[in-house]
Amino acid sequence: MKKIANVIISIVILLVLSSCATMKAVPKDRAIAKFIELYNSGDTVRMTEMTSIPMLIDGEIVARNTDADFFWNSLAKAGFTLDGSESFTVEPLGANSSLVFGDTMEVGTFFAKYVPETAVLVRVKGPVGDFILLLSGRKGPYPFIFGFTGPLL
Amino acid sequence: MKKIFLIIFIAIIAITTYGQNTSLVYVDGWVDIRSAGELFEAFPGDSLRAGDSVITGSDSYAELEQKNLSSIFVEPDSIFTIREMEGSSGKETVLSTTVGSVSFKFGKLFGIEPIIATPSMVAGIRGTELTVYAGEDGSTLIAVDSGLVTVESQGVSVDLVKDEGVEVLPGEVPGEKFSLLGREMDFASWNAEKYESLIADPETGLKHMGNQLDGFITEIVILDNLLTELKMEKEYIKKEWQKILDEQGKEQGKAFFNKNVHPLDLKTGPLFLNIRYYSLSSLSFRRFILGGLYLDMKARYIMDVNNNEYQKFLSMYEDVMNSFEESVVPFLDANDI
Repeated sequence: MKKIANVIISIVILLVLSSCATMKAVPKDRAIAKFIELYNSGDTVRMTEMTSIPMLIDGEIVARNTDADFFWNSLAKAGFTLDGSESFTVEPLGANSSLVFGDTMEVGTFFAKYVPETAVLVRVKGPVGDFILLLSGRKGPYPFIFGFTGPLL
Repeated sequence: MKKIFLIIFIAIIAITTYGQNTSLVYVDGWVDIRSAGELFEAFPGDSLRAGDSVITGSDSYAELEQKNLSSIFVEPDSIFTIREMEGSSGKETVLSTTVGSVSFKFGKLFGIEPIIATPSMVAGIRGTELTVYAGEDGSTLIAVDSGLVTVESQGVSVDLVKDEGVEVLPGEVPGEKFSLLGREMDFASWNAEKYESLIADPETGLKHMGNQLDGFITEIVILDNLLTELKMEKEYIKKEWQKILDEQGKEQGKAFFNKNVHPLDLKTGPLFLNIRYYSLSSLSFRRFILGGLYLDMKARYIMDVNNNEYQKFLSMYEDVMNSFEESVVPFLDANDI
């Protein structure tokens, strides 16, 4: 009986922990695939929820939820989707990772100040070239997005 | 006599603490305060200092009070910042609306009232109730309910009284003033109309925005040149001071310091403060007005990135950003980002 109670408690704890949000966790491939799936679903409300503010779009720092929401909605309206075949590549943060977004003081400061060390750069195909998603942490099955840039030249 | 001293004392306290005594008295929905580079959820009772911003979302609203003499109403989707700059009568509080709609109701404070600013204008006020609309295209609309407002942009001023309004486009002089009587003011419709015009011709819009940023940069350059001259003068005077100390002794040196070195120190502080004011105004403009246009254009053309119009926009945007990087960024620090 005690064993069953322990199992139930453990399951409850696991469920609670899995629903907690953390910015500092390295996203696994499965979570990245789920994130791309979420983006492609057009659920922009959830996308905004999964956006860490401030967020970086190219060299622009998005400082308001309203602006992130506007951006995700505009991309969805434009019919922009990402390749959902899980053929993305993942790279951990390096000393020069910020240069993908821009070589400015603002971008450098953004990385130093707001991007956790656990973040990864995900390179994924879009309709007009490759795009980079800067992801870290987790809330439920999805990682948070800290940055978006592309198409890469 | 005692009464006069008391009035002077209260006036001094009021002047020196004006910007430091703003507090949130009402919050509806999720409102953020940005302070020293960090974002906090706002609650009634929170105090705001110079440099702090109140950011409302699409369904939130905030009310602020200043020493129970003034009320500030921050409508949804607005960014309101308290800044300081050195004016002709010393340190002045600047109540700045970067985007959105903010209404003000000022109590009388010995004739001392703050400056109202948006990215495209500054306004001096006297015993006033007014609403400031700061559009996402960088334009401003001022509507006066009572009192007198002097709106200034690009060196041209317009005086507004009760039931008058004026529109100011970014980088332009104020437009013709108009009567508000019988006219329903609606920020959302006005902002949508301005933004539609901007998107219909983003190159012209970006040109106006570039002019507005250039206006801030010109002020920064003038102030920085003055500061450099002052530093050079100080270096020279300090050598003289050292010479006097060595040749004529401590007493003569002290007298020379008080007469020549100290006044230069006093001039340096206000120059620094105003360089910061214009740098932070530039940053807000770059972040919320220019940045907003960039994001919209990126999303609009993301399926057609080689479009000529888009490429032309990107090239112009890069030029504006290069100016910002070269002339404004050296005066910013990590806390501002």
